[in-house]
Amino acid sequence: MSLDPPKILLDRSFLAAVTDDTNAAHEQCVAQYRSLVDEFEREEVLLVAVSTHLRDLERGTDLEFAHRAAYFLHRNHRGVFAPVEPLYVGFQHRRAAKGVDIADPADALTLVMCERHHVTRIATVSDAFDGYRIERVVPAAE
Amino acid sequence: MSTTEAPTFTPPTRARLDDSVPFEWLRPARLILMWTYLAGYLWWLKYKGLTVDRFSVAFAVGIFLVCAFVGKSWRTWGVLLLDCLAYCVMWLSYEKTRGAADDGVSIFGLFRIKFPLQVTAMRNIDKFLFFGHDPNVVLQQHFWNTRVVRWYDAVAGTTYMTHFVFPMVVMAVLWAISHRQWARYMKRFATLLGVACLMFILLPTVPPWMAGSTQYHYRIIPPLHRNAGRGFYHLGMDSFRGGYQRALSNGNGIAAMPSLHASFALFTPAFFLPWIKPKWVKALVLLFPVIMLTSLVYLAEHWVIDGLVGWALTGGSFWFWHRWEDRTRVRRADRARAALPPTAEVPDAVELAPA
Repeated sequence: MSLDPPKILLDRSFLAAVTDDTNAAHEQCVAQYRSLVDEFEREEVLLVAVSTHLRDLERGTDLEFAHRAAYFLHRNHRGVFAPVEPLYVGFQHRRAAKGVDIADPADALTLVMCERHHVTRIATVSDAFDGYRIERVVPAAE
Repeated sequence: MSTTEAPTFTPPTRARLDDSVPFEWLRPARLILMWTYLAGYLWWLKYKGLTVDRFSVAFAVGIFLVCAFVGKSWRTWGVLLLDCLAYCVMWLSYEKTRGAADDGVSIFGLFRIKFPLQVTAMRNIDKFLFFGHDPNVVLQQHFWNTRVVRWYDAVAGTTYMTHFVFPMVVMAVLWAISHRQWARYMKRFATLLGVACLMFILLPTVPPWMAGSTQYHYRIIPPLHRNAGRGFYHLGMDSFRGGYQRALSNGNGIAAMPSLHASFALFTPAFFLPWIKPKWVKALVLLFPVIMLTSLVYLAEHWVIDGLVGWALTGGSFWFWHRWEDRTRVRRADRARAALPPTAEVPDAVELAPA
């Protein structure tokens, strides 16, 4: 029995689709994210994301070390992903991700974080996780 | 949820996550260490007694946490270190303020404010609540037997002693299993301690055993027996005695209002109440604070009103933080919605191929 509400991990592709209005899945993802935010507000779910994926979207990919460290120490809950809690990535997670048999290292890291943090549901527009026993929450088809 | 339009997805083989991700070898090590710790703790409890002073309890919790955090990331250890620091500051402030209530509060070393000692006020409230009777006196007259330790003495003594261990054990376990819940627990706990300390200073109160003792000049009620641990020692927890007496001598004798024993006894059950579904279990769990307050009154440690105010403080702390957390959640959700572009319709979530 877990004391926390079930976690839903917002995958990198989902985060990107929510923020990028040129993305083909943007509208569905935004709509889906809205319903997830409603669930979060009712404390039915916890929204989480891999810290490095969230950081890349919120602060950009070419951050200086000091800014990366600041983000690592504390993240403000502001903006579109204010309800999302980062799952902080450590050396051990990166090391474990190298041993995952999946094409994209970022997806491997997502899988490791799901396993380590007992996440059983994932919001994604990617089909990279189809081969794994993880419940997938995807935007409804138009 | 739409069932007719939902695309179906049934891959031929779906790998389990824990089969796909390299095994975390330190996880079993963590579990073994925690079980070893538990066994060691029980052995200590049996042969060395229960530790009650803050330092020993903090040390015991520290060892448990080291066992529970083996193999976790450096950041997790860093957060743990900060948490431990906050925990120590909380207890030190509590001890310092609680002690200060005895001699008043020094203002920059210039002068000292000492609030008037409450001797009869709490007793009068108790008498009013119980139609002119002193509950402490009535209970001891009817049930206390100096020569024989009865089963209810064991229950009262053990219940009384849980105060020194129970909340700390819960804290340590929550620390290990959910940092989010630990933070929720600690916010409420620290608030309760803070308000209680303030009350110890503003309202120093003579407890019933002191009010009736022949060693003090108050003598507003008949002398009462003060031996809270008697029933507990009777169960074979003899080696605990020294530590408890030492802890008593360090404590503040006139910090009766509010009763933190009563507060803590309600605190932990109240925290876990939302996860308990059967009503009869809820009722059973809530019986514990009632037993605690009855024990405190029987053992002449507190007036009834001390316990009632302790419960009210616990309720107030829970109410405050519940509201605060609700508002934080709503604020974060609103921020997210405000940053999102408007959409025409919110579709149902479609779950594909449940695991």
